[in-house]
Amino acid sequence: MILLFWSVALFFLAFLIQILFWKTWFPRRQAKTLLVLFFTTFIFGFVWILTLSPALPSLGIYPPQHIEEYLHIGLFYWVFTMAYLITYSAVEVDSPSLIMTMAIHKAGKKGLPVNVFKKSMTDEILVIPRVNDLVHDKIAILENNIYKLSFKGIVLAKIFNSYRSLLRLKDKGG
Amino acid sequence: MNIEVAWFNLFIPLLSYMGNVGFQVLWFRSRPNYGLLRSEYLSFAVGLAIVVGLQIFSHTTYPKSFADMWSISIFNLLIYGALSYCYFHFINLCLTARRIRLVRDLYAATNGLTLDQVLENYNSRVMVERRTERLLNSGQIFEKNGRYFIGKPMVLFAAWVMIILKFIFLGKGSEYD
Repeated sequence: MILLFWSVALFFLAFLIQILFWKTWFPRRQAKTLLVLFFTTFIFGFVWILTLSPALPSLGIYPPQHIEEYLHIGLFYWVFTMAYLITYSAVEVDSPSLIMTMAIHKAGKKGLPVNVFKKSMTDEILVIPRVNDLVHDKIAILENNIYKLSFKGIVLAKIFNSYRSLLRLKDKGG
Repeated sequence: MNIEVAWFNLFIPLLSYMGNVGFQVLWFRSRPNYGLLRSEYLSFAVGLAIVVGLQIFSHTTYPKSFADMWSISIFNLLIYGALSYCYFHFINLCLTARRIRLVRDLYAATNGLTLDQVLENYNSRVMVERRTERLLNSGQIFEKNGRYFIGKPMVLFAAWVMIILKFIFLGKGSEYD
């Protein structure tokens, strides 16, 4: 119960700090800021628990006792932070499949004509913002109207290409 | 808690996750026609069985109170669930993410690409065709008399959840608002 309590408390605290932070100063690079906030909360949270651990039992709150319990809390915290970050990336940008489904939903019982549907999904909505994101997030560099991958982009491409090879995925994806 | 059992409990979700990923890769490589999504569901179940098995082993080998037994089991199940969720999304990124597709296209072009060349390889027409096919095949939408309708509500439900989260964090329902 101690592990569950401290893990959830730390994660919830980081989440609250993020909401307050977003309301006061909305960051340009959201994923990076989110990671920094969660990392900072994690470090300060652990320091706080360690510092106050002798006094906590008198308040009816029991701190973790051993290194492996701290590691277990850390594992929970970081796995949930990663899961949250992945979910947040879908909040940050609109998924085409979700845009398409909402467009059909909005058409109601009459349905959405296939040709209207296809014409409404343009490069300006679906592709170009993501190309710009690559430059904004320093994954690609734009030089003389030519997009090239940065070192970060090359690493990313290698990771995904390797895993696609491992799964023998033939479909080009996207 | 006994130190030995605490270490063992720490590794339960990690071992189960490795079982999940290892099984998924081997299963899908040996049976590519089985379907990627189905292989992910199956491997999740395999990993879940490992968590439950190891948790039972832990409780029988190192007996503890009923409350401790349940709390550590739920704790490890939550970690395993979140790890599997991350893996599910990682595969999803490999297959459907626009940015990853663009990154891979740029990686394949040694001298880089202009915007026109990027759009020649991958554009809204290609994307809409692929995704419409996926939505039709999974029954999320269906076509009748040249019009699209909502079928199963799963993706629509996900779309509503995303809109609510966007309002909470961004104060708007879409990045285009």
